[in-house]
Amino acid sequence: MGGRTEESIKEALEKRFGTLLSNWVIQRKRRIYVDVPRESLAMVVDFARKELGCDHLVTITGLDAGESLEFIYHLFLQGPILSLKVKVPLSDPRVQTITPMFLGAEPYERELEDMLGAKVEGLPPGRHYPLPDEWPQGQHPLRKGWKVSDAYPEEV
Amino acid sequence: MNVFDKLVNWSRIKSPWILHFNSGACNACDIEVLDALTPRFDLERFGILLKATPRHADVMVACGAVTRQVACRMERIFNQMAEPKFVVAVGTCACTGGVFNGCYNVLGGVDKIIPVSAYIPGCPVRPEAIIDGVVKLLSSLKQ
Repeated sequence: MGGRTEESIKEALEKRFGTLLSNWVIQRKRRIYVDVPRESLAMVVDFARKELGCDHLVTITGLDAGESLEFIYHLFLQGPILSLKVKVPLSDPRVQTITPMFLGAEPYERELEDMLGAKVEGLPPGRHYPLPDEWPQGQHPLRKGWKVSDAYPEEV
Repeated sequence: MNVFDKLVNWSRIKSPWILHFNSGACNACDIEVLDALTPRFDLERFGILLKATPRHADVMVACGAVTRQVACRMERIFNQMAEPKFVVAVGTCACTGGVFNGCYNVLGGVDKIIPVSAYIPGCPVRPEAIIDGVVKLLSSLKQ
């Protein structure tokens, strides 16, 4: 499976981006984690697509880490999986879209917007996903401390 | 009740056509409903036929907790059914919301949206339980 080793992927990325990428973790065979600043996310994804033979975005995961939101972009590199971690402050949860490069990213990015309240810049306006159409604005169920009564006070 | 009314009532009881509606079920109850409709359990001996449109159906068989997205659709489909109409809630989730109660996307049981005539609990319900519930509904209609 695949010609590239985990080390050679790390080398290629460090050669291109230098100190922009931090906190490298090669957790085990075929699992690489690295922190990416949100301004360079699109650039790194584009590089992985063009130079590292990445043709498949596995998924985007998101979590509320208290003070910040964390989005992890899992890229399939013909064997190894490169996971790009983007941390954004809770007060300013902007992140770039990668939908122009991976069309399949659109539902994941809408899910980040709905469930965690991320602001995905460059994502064309669309309907709620996966929350229902008439869901109240500004309510994000996967935020820590969120309760159903925040969105529907009359039900509790 | 004159003879004609009796005839209409008798024919209704002998041919309750059903509409199968998934309001947010995990699919387990749906499979059990389909099981009950197979020749092995043979719901057709009571005249029960599965219909593809609410306009031909007398009984709505609703499975699963009602999600917020499906609630207004469910009401619309219920309104499309011709009178007299009945709703059977199949499964614990359809009866009360079950373990999904309090979930951000779940409204609760079917009876929060539309009136329910029969509740069949179980997770998932057994086909025998569905048959039992349907027969109880039919025998209550006779009176």
